[in-house]
Amino acid sequence: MANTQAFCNSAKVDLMNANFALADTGQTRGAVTKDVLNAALYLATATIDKATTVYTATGEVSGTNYTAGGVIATTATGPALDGDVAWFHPSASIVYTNVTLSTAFDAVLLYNDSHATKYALSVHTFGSQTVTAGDFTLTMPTGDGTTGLIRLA
Amino acid sequence: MGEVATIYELMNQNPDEQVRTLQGGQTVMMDRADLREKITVEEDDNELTHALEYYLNDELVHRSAHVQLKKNVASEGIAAMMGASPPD
Repeated sequence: MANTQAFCNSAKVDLMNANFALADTGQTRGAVTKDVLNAALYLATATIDKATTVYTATGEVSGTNYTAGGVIATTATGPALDGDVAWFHPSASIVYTNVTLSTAFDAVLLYNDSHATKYALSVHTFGSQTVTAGDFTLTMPTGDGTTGLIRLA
Repeated sequence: MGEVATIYELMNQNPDEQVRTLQGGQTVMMDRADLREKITVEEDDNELTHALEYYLNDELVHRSAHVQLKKNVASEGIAAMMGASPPD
C-alpha cells in the first residue's frame, strides 16, 4: 500500500456539481461563504490516492496534539486564472504545532470540511516524516498556472 | 551560519531560546546548549525538506520538519474536452 499524489478523480465531478466553493466571490450556488478546507495527514502505510473520494480516518496519523481530521488550511485567496490554467492553493503554510507523530507519514489530504460529505480534493505526498515534540510545516509551491498546488488546465 | 539561521526561521524557533523535548512521555523544556543538534536538508523534484533534530545522550527528544512542496497535481485536458464533439 502507498499514498499517491493526485487530483482526486471524484473532485473533478464534485467541482462540476459545485460541491466545493473555494472563494467568497465568483460562485453562484447560493453559499454565502467559502468552504473550509482541512488538511489531514496519512501514514506511509495508508492508501490515499486519486481514488479517494472523501476524508477517511483510516490510515490517518494519530499522536499528541493531533486532532483527527487535521487542521484548517488557510484559503484567504480563491482560485485564480493564469493564462488558460486555473490554479489554487492554501494561502498560508499548513502547520501542525507541538505534535508528536511517531509513526512515519508521507501524505496530506485536502478535503471539504464544510460539507456533510467530506469531499476529497487532492492528495500531496512527500518524503516520510516523524515529529517529536515539534512542528510539522507544509509550505505551498509558487502560486501560478505552472506550479500552483492544484491546477485545472 | 546563513543556512542554519534560515532553518531556525523556517522552524519558527529562536536559536537563543529553550527547546521543547519529549522525555519519558513528558514535555520538558531544555537549554539548547545541553542538546546535540542535527540539521538535515534534503531536496528532490517533489520537495525541499528541512529537519531539525535534538538529541539527549543519543536519544531523539525533538524533531521538527518543514516541507516545501514543489510538485502540483493537475487535472489536464478538461477544458479541451468540454468543446469536443462526442464520439460517433
